[in-house]
Amino acid sequence: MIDRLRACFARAMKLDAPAVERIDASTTAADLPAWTSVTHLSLILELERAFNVRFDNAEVASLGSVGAIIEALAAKGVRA
Amino acid sequence: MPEDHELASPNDNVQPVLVPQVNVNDDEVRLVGWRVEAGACVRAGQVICEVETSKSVEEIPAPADGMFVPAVDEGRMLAVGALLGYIGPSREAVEAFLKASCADRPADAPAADTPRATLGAVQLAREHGIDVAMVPATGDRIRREDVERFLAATAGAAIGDPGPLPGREQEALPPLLAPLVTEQPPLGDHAWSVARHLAATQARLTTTQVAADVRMDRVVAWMESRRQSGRVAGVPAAMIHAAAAAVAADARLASFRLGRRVFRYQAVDIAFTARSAEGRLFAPVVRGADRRSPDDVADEVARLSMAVFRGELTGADQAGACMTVSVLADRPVRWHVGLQNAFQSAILSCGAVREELVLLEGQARAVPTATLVLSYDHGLMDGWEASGCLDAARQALENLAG
Repeated sequence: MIDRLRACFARAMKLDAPAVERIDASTTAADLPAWTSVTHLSLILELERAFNVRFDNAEVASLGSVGAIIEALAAKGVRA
Repeated sequence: MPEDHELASPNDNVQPVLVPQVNVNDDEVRLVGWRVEAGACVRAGQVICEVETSKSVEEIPAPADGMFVPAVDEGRMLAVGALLGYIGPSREAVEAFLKASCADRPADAPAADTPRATLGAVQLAREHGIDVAMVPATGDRIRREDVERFLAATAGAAIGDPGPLPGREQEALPPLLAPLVTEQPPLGDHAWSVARHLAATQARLTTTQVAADVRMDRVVAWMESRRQSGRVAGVPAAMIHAAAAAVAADARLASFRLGRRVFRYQAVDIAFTARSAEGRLFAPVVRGADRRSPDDVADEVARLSMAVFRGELTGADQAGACMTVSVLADRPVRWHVGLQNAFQSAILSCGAVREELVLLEGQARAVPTATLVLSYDHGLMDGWEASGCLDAARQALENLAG
């Protein structure tokens, strides 16, 4: 799953390979300068396309860490 | 039903139904169709018609119980605030109301809110999206034929004329320019609607600005704290919090003029500018911004921003803001001047956060700083008063706590 997540981050935030490799389950928005409130919206759409899920608009604000994203995907039936 | 309706004051039983501001970017809509028959009994909230905006088709509910009598035909373009019909206890009551209104105030009587213009002139100007105060009067007041003459005179205004009427489409390219330019695709419906509505709003206001630099270290610290806890936050949320403080300093910031009449919003609902994935500009509204914590505002901004990004914003999400904030934090701009949205008098704008050297206790330190610009209507308040509002916004940002 982490590789699929990294691919979503790379597309949404136009990250280079070294930045992508540093993303892991403990990464939060504070660790990634490119993760802004604007790129966050693109990230949500990329995640929805990649994992075939739909996030409620109201839960978007709470998905500011990889851990929260993994939990939210698990709640929607997506397993690692 | 007569073509030139009288907008007389409603009595206790009969009230006019007007076109609401469905979408903040549209100052006119098309009446797609009636959903009830003429003379049908309706309930408050029941859908009586559908109107088409630049973005979507929206349902318009009845504002009260009663018998509905339509006043216009399907397919017509109507300005916001134009007459749709009447609701009364019976068709006879509506007809008696209209008859009494016409008898008391003939078609050429002065409109209550525009002493120099007749009701017929006000209605025709409103239908064409122009401010009747801009029409030259040939007599002691602006009459319907004055508006008709004005519309005819400005219909083909060419580029380069000193004062093309805001919102009027320019149709004639000067021949000298023809070999120098190539025509591009015209503006899309949304972009054209935004341009026309902004121009119409500016024509109503006497706009000027006050500006101030603000220390953003508390805002940056708050955003960082949220990011570390896995929650999204951006400058717009802090700006909405600051705008609410500005309104608390002077409620005229949450007011707007229609000529000499002044209207004040009862709630501190604040819009912020946001772009969809296709680059279209919208202004969703955070309700009750004065009663929310900055964290709560940030969550709501995230929710609405996602709706904008997906293209799922509804008319209700965009209606009724008392003022707007506009942030260009992701661009290298020091400051920018926002344009007020329809039926608002103020917009608070902010450029990018930058590092500036300041002297603090004898030490030079780099402090995150931004420049705020408050655009306001000088018809409502002067620069001294507006600067008080801006200072309230500045203090709200410099003292921000989650």
